[in-house]
Amino acid sequence: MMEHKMAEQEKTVPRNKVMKTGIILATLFSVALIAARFAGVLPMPQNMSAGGVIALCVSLTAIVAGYVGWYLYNTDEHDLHANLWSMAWAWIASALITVNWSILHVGGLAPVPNALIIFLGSAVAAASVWAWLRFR
Amino acid sequence: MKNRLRVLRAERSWSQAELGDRLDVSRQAINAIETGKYDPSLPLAFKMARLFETTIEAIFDDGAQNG
Repeated sequence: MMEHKMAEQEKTVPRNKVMKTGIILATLFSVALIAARFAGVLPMPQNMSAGGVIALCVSLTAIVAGYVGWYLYNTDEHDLHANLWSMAWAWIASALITVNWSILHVGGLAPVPNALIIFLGSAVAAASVWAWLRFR
Repeated sequence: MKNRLRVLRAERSWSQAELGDRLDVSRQAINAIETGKYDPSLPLAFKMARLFETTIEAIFDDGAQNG
């Protein structure tokens, strides 16, 4: 029994370490996106080949998917609950922003909806809900 | 949902972090359960009952009247 518990502990990374890694990755990703928004360029070499761009996309997807899997493996039900609600509210925020912005655009009151801003808005909603449920 | 988790933990002089380690959940999860902000899953409730050598009903009270 004790050996089984020790084996479990050996394979489990401390949750705080997993969470801090996620927060650092999310912050770096957000800063890159905000920089891209305001600088008008993506934070990567501008003369990349098509293969390079595809490799970058595949790498980014692998890193994010790998991290999410690692995170879900190490998290607990309280955190998972916060994550599920944050994702639900992120989708609601995304839908509300998109619909309202589109209507305003059709009515001539706003420019064409910007996918990056909508994504950032939903990410902020997700982060706010997650932090509220996790730490209040 | 009301519960006696804080009392049971205090009787054993365990910190929230220590109880979290024993139940394999975070300290924040224990705090959220103790303050009634989060209701644990059935598997976690059973785990708590086994750890404190009691029943789930002795730890949690949903406020409903029996009978």
